[in-house]
Amino acid sequence: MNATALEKLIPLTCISMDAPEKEFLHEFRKSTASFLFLTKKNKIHAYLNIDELDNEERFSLDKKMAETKAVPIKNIGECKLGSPMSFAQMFQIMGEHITLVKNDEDEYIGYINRVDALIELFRQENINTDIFKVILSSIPMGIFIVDSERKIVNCNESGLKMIKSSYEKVMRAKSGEIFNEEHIDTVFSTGETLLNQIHIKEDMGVLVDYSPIRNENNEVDGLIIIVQDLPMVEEMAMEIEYVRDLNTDLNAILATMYDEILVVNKEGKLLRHSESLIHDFWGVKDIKELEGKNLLEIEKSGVYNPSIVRPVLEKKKKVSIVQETPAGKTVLAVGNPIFNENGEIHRIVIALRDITETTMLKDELRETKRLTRNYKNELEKLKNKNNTYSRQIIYCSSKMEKVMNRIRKLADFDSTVLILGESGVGKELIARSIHSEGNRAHQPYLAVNCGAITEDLLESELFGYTKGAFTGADSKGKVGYFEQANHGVLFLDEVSEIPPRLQVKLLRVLQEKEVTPVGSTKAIPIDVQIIAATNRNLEKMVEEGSFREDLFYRINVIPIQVPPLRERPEDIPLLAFHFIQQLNEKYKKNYHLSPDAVTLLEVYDWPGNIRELQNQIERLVVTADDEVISAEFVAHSLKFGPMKRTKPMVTGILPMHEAKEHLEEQLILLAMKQYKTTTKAAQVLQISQSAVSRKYQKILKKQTNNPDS
Amino acid sequence: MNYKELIISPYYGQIAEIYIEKGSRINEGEQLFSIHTLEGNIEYISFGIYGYIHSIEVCEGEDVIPGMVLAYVQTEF
Repeated sequence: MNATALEKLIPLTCISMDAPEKEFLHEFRKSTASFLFLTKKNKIHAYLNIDELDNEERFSLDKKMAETKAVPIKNIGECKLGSPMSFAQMFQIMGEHITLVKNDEDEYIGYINRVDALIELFRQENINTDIFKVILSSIPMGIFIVDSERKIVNCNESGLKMIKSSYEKVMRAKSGEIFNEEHIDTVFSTGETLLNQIHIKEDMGVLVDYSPIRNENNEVDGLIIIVQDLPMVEEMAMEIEYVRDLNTDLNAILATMYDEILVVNKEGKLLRHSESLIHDFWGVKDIKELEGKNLLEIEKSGVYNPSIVRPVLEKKKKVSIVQETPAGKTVLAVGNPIFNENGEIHRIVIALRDITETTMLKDELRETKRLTRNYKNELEKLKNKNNTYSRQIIYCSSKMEKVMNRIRKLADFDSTVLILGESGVGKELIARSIHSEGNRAHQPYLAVNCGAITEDLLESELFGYTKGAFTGADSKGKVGYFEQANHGVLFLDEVSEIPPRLQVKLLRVLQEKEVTPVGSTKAIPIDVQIIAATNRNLEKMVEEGSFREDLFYRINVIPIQVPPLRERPEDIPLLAFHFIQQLNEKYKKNYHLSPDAVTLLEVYDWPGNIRELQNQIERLVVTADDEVISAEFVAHSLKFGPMKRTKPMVTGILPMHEAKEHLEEQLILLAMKQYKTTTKAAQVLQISQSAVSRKYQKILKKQTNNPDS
Repeated sequence: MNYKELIISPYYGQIAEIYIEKGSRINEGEQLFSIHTLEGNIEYISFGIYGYIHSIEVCEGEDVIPGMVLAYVQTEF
């Protein structure tokens, strides 16, 4: 403080508070100073501003009142003579009416008024005079001054930091663009102060006060916007945003996992739900219609059945239930209870999944699986069957198809079967397939050729014998075929060859179903299916008396007539290929028949039937020079005898009439050569005798005219 | 494809016995649960497909109602 200020120094007027009341009042009333300083024990401790007291107060003031009205001395700013004032002192000066002045000895020498102190302050050359700016920047809050046009006219650094902007951007900017325009309008129109308004934008979160600046007419002339940085608010806002995003994501995730998710309270009231709705389940169009409703009541009304909330409440644990609606919707509901800290149910989270279609598909799938399994079993059965003998029966003719169907029908029965057919048609193979297709497939199968062994041997083989039954017999005795084949099948091939004595014994076995071994008197009960076979005409034999009639009827229960190969030529190529392939596989060769050769095989008579065909093919393969077996080669091998009723064979293309002529010629010449007379030839050729005669004459004439042909 | 099948109670009653545990391999028609029904009968629950028990949702003595899921079965198609 310098000398100029010293001129404004006002001496202190002190009154001692230690003096008696009377003396105090005397001093007080005598004084004309504006400020009275109160002392205790000669030390100033407070002051009284007399100008602030009204008349009545001045009149009635006593020591006690002075004590209450006095301002403590420590509230007043101090300055020292000769030393400069600091900025902080300046705030003290501004806060009170006066400033005390001390001398170098720290004694109060007087006071100066506020105005004089400030003048003194501004006079100091070393102090920045932009006091307003200093004040603004000293405040740890953002301050923005808005003028009557609502434009920002001033602000401090803190404010810029908080709103993350720059001085250039903010100055003269419309306040409504930075802060809440609505709030600014409110303050301008009402003059009210708006406090603690949270203002959140993407990158900032601040607490804002909007305060009006009034002019002398009490009109709102501008605003002070005070901004407080709230990093926590910002963080929270960010978190809310994050949670909101998370919520959306979770909803989407949940929607893919479950068709619907509901949260109900312990009373069953619906509190929350996922966005999706299972169509046709609740009987409402929008799930929002269910908000606030009680699920227990909805369940009671029979929209769906059974309830999920009730069991969860009762059991206090997770419950899964399949619910159904009257319209046929099937929904899997999983109810999960959520407990509070007291262990009571607080919420129930219910996840629903529409399984109508799944259930339907599942049922269908189950049915399909069942069918598939059945088919598989059937296939397996067929495969197993084909693996055995029936696979070896190769045919495509309807005649054989009929035979095979008959065999399949027989499979479920134990009836005695009589297989009839020429030699080599495969009677044994058919007997084996009857066994393998039938109920006794897993029981023994025995075959005896009755024509191949002597009568005595056949007897002991069939019926067995006891020990010591005859000389040379096995000492232990022998179990007969009948006994061996018990529960199974006994195949009696060439049954016609059984001698009459054994026919009686066989008849007895078939009738009584028991067998008596040679040398034994004890009959053994047996259960054997008999399959008999013969290539002879049993009926004729019965007529002739060489086969017992009663036995014939006994074995002729199910006759199966196997057609000879010549009656089913369509099977020949199949069989031929089969046999050739067998040989090819066996000898690792690659023989095959030319089409003509196959045709030739087809027209052949095959008196030895399939057996002959098999042997013939083997012969062809063994003797063939070429891998391709030609028709000529086959023709050489087969004996197309004149007696055979073979089909005529044409090996090259020639005009039809010419072919007919050739054929006629050949036939007539052949017939005449064999039967000598036209009458007989006509009979054989089944045309009229005159026709034969005429044609024969023509041929002879042709031969004489053209002896080379 | 792995797929979970539901074993559902057809009865009102109480679980009398559970013959399986989590992870058990079950065969077609095998008895899995017995339920003491409200009518007083013991009914056995079996399943038409073979698979593995994925989870058991009930315990012995627990009340059941028709539609309640008793167990999930992992099956292979």
